[in-house]
Amino acid sequence: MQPSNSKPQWNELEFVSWKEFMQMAPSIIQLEISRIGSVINAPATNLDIRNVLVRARFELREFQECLQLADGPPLGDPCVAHLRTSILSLSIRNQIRDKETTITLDYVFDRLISMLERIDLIFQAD
Amino acid sequence: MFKKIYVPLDNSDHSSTSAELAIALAKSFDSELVGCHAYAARMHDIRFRQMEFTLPSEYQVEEEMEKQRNIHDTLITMGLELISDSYLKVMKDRCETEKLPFEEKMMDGRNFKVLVDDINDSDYDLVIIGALGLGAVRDSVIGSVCERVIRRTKTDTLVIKNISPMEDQLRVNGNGEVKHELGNGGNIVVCVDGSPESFAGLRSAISLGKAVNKEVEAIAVYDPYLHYTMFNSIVGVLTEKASKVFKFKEQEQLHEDVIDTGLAKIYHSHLEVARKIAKEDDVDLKITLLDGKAFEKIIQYVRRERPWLLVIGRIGVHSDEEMDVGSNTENLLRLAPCNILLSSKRFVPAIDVQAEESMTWTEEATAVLNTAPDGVRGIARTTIHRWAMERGHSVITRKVIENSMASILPEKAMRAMGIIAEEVAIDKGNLLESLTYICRECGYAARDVEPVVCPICNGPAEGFQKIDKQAIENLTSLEGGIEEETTFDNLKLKWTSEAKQALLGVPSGYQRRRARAQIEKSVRVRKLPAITRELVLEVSGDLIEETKNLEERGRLKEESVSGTESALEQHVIEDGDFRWTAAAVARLNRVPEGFMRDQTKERITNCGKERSVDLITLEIAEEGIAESREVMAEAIRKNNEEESR
Repeated sequence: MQPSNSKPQWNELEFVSWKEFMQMAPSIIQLEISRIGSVINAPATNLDIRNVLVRARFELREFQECLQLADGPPLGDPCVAHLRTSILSLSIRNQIRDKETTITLDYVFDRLISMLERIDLIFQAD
Repeated sequence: MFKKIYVPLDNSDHSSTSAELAIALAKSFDSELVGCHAYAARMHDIRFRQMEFTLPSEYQVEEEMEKQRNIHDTLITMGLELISDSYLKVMKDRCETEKLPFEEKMMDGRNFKVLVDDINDSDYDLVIIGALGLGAVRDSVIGSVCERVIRRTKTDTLVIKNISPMEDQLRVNGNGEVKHELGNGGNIVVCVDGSPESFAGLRSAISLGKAVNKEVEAIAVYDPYLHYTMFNSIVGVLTEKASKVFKFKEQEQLHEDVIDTGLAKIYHSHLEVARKIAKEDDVDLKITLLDGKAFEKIIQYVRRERPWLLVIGRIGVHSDEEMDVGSNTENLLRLAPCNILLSSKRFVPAIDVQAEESMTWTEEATAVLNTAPDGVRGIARTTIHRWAMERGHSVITRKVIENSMASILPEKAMRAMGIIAEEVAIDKGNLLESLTYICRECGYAARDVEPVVCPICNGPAEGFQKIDKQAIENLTSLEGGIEEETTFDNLKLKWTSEAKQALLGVPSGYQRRRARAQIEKSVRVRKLPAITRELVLEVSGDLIEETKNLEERGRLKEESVSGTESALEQHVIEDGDFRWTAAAVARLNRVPEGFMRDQTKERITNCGKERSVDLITLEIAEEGIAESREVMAEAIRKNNEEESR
């Protein structure tokens, strides 16, 4: 028995070249690392949540490092696994009561999800 | 797929066939071709010197010997270059005819060494090399150059064993014209064992199949007989007592019931994954599962089916990565009577594709996964698959989910999200909160128990900073007493005077409010008794450093709040009609910001005007502040009187 895993249909307009991806991704990741960092040190989060956010930031940094070492698509699964774990850690946002923090983390979450979805659509231009 | 193809040439039948196949593939893949011949001039040179004593006596005089040496040197160098040139010219001409880009390389040195160096230093996607060279005899199986190159390089290598004309070899299969004794017209067989090399080999085979119009099929072999052989061997040497401990009957039963069937399922799942990979390229892959010793079964299959090409991973699924060539591959390289592609590239199929074929979920586990929020369910599923696969699980249970998630989410969150049941969660709420350890590398915070290793970044125990309440309490007495302040949620926090002074280093307004919130947050997370100067600098030190030279519009600079008193008095800051010494600014900034500070600033500048000076010193600032205090005290007194009436 397998749980269902319906994937959204891809749109050819969302395909992105490796060059474009590498121009876009590092800046986004750096920004999101900073955003998570600001939430880590913000009030209204407890130690457990802080540590989950620390993991989210750490995994994102690992992903950033992997990306720097990658030659081109496809990105290896061990590399993408860092991004997935980071996103999964951010699901903790549902446990945070502070509205401002939740809004920030929702934003980071959406940005990372859109990056994850793009990873399958990267192509190597000649 | 193959942008640059490399062909070592020596004018043998095998190398000529290699060149023909390279040309055929280059036409399909738009590849660049590189032909190379290596010659060993130095070896000839040394040999000649060793044989000098055999020359007739008339040559064995100083002058004549030197002359002969020069002639030989010239002949050898020039001759070998000419020979190389001739070898390369054959392929060069063919490429010119076919209008294909061709680069020729001529290298002097030990042939396998220079070839290996060239392959390892270049970006070739494929090496096509003859299994045998000019030195082959009837019983030769694989040439030394071919074998040595294969052992020392990690580029995909196609070994040519079939030397019949290329047009025969590439004849379309399935038309009844397969020449069975040679494999001409046969298809491409890929050996799949679940290794990344074998899956990459499958992808190469699919591309090659499309390029040369050949069908592709996959085979996998599992060995259920190895255990029986081992048991029989052990039975003969074990004592009676040991046999009872070993429980052979039960062990054998276990193998029959679980392991043998399980092995078949595992290898079948590899084939199913292969079929899915092929499907993505619109190829309907025929799959065959065989049982027995891997290389033997493959050889038998190849002898029966006569494929044109056999594709195998350079190393197998159980090999160490540093292994040059796996044992099955080595045997097949020698014994298989057809061309062989050794795949060195690696391809790991998508985790979920592999999991779909090799894993099952219990109903309870599926139900747990469905409690995860929509946005992360797919990601959680992949993460669980990956975790389970790395640990060899094939059934996803609730426990597997709990364990895989434990490293990411805390128990409380998992409980809240329904990932773990209440009863399995350990309540850690009552732990003593006297100590906190913070990882300097990633920021992970541990309470009470000093971690041996950071669970997030794997940093060592020495990387943790110990936050000791007692030490902080001792420190506060040295920092000019404690003031208590109430946070937004009515919690009382203690600040030392020096801490509050240090916070003034952050520009007032939004930045200082944010810094204050971060400091409060930090002290609450770490359960510290008071906010000290050290803590303020730890949390907001960077911000203070970054912004100390920035000047907010309409406000005084915050710089130079530290230093000796005389230095502070000498440093002057412009502000409107007045100039302020840094010490005066620092003093003003200690007044609570907002209305009170603005009023105080006005009093101070009035004092300056009364004195007819445009430089506000610490003395004038103190005077203005004293006046402000009196005014405030008067206002409060009047207010109290009015209230009492």
